[in-house]
Amino acid sequence: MEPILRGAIVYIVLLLVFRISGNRSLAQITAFDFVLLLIISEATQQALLGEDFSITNAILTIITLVLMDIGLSMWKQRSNRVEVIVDGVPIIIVEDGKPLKDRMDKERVDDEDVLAAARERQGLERMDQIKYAVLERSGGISIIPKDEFR
Amino acid sequence: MIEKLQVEQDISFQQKTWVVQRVAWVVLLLILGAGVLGLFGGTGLLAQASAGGANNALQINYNRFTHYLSPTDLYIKVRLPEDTGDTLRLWIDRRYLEGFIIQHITPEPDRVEAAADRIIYEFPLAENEGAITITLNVRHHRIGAWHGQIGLEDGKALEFSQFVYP
Repeated sequence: MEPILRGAIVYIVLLLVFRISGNRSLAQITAFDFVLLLIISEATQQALLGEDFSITNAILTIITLVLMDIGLSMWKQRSNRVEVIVDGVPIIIVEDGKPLKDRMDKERVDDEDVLAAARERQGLERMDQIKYAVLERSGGISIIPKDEFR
Repeated sequence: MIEKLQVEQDISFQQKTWVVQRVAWVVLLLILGAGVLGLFGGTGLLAQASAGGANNALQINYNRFTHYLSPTDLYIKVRLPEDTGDTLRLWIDRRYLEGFIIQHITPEPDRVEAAADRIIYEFPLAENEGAITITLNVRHHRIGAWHGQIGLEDGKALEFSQFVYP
């Protein structure tokens, strides 16, 4: 029973922690984010397996995590409210070439991040070529160029 | 239906996959249910077992199911008759002992004696306590079914079995 309980608790805690830290942490853009994810996975491994190195323990833990994931995704599909709470919502951070500063500050995203995404995804050169920039739920930034630059 | 997108679909295979997936989810849920009940070891209802009754001199509480290399406890309760001296001699059969590594025994035995088919542990006793519990913290390093026997020096054997998952 312990692997099941441990798996469930760790899954829920990690979900909460990542939701609390905001969308950007998941995007792993820089070495900083990558290191964080790497170390967190090390920390959870010990909590999940404890001193039990058997295959049975690993299989039970994996089954618990996968079923929780499937269960949560089914619940999200049925309930809009749950989907919003668990996954978050996308937000527009640049409109018609003008960055929406208060939103970007709250999400800890700056102009450079938006411009990097614009270069990578659309090959754009300047902020005023962007019609909309949206911070997606995944933590990435999607860019819609102005009509004349498509 | 004319499909203009160049992609290798196989809808009938996909539909079979969906059915197989749903069935597999139910199987996984059943496995999880068995785990919660203790069928795979740990603290579930089915995992705890005891041999010997409350009325016997010797009773052992143990985990019926346990995992390879996972620490588990055996609690041996001994009810001492009035005329016990100041040592307690408990034996465990050797074949069972070979299946695991003992991490610690609480209390520590004074002496450990080897006999042909068993190992005898001698524990010092404080004034006649009435009943004491000896705890063995062990790690099984052989998988499969194991039958153990323990007993007091001159008493009969108490039998119990465990199954060690890989």
